[in-house]
Amino acid sequence: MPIRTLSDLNSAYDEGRWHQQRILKNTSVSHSSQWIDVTFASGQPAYDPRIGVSGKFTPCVATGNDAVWFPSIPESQHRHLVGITARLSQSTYIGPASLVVFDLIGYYPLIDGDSTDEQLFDNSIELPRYKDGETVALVVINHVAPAINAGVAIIKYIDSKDQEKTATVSIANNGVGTVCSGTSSSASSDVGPVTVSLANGTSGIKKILSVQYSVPPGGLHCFYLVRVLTTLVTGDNAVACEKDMYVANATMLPRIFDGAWIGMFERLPPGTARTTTLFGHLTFAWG
Amino acid sequence: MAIQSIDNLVSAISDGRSARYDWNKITGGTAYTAGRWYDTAQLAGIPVATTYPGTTKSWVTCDETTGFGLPHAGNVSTSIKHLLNMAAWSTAATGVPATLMLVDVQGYWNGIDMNVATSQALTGTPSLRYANGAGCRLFLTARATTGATAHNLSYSYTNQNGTAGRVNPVTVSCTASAITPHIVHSGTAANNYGPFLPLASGDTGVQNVASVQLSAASGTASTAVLVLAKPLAQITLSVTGLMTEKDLLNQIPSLPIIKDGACLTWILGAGAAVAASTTFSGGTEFVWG
Repeated sequence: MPIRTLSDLNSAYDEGRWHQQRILKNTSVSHSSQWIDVTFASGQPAYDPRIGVSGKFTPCVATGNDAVWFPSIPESQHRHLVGITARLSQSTYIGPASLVVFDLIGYYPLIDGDSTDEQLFDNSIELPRYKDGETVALVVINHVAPAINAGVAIIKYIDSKDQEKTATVSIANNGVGTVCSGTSSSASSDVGPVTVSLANGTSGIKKILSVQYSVPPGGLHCFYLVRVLTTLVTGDNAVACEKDMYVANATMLPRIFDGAWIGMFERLPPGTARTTTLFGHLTFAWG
Repeated sequence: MAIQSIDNLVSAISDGRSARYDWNKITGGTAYTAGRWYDTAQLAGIPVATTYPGTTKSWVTCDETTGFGLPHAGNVSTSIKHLLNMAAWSTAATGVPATLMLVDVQGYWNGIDMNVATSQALTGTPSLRYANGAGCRLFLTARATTGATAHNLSYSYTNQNGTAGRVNPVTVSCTASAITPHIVHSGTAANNYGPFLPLASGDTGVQNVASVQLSAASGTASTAVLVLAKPLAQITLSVTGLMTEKDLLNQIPSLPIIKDGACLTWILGAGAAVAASTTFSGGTEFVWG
């Protein structure tokens, strides 16, 4: 029976239809006022530089503990994220951090930040989850090689309503392992939001057709397609912060599809750039 | 009458149908590693440590009288007993961050040989407090430091539906040179899972275990204990010397039921290196009606 009520949720606990998965990520890249992808640190889930064939959509389907692990369930049941607990330890504590938990649906790796040519993307493989792209967001990561400048990207994509659209956004230069999604159309040093601000009316992205840097930032970039599952604000240094979805998320329990590749973005408030370690767990229940 | 309202709860407490028990555990002489889980039942303190006695690889049932579980005021049937709240703290900076999970140990198979690569048959029929074993999970905890040779663990069990021959759905790697009381398959290395052994698709519990097998002898004469337990609730520790409280009336899971005879112990998830001889303490409160 699907989990719809507190009674359903407690029954899931009583009957063993739940799983808790610990996460522990070691020292991150140094950052402040920036979003980073914690995957670029060792620990569990493991480090993953998101490489592959340049510009080819690479679907992410979790197997084993390459991402946050959860058990398989019968097809007739729905799995939900019912809770998250996280603690961040900062090398020099300055303030609370923000976390965004996401399902990485796939990515386009190794996009050349030095080229001003239009780089066409290979979409021969469709999205493994959220197939119509509704609620799917775009995040740009600087990976493998560092960018050297802030840049401007012209991104052509198909939205969740199958309409072709174009967005011109800044690409910030925040270093390897950091998010460089931008909002404006100038090569300023925006630190930006976690997701790219897309064209008006876009409520999801199905595929990216191409990118062209009108101002090349250098380095190599990776374009993620993600579905945000929940957010969490951590507290004082190393203090565990718990979010019980039923109590603190208006009873809404984010659904976790089979194969979901769960990761996290992390943002520190302004101040001296610093490293963090992350320890916590995610709790899943199904019915 | 079962507790179904705040009025019921207040009445139960007013009528003395509640109990509080404190506990205290001190880690051993070796530091713990971040990202791994440890079985505190083997640690000195209150309740006393256990050595998981019994005949090798034969099922041993545990209950409140077994001695190493946290007291919870005995049997109360036909009333229903609940875990009302709990608190925990560590007196050492090296004890945080950490997660403590309260489990009801149904029993165990001791003497699992960590230095052979052949299948090891387990005997006995578990008598469980949870119908069909639903929600009951397995963990393998070291009784002596295992050898340095890398090894994986496979197992064959009977699930909550009574289906025998269920096996691990993924490769499960044990930590080489695991110390007592490390839950040997937990950690941050590839194919480490913890605190519980993963179950096959669709399974929600374990009734029985037929066999376990290592992919390689660990290289040192050593044993481990396979424990079957029902996880009940957990609490997180963040700051040295600061008590963390969990109110299970308002937090989830709601008022977990404590069965008659429950053998309550803690397993510890280390969020950072835990220095030798670190103390963990806490209290638990129960109510029934």
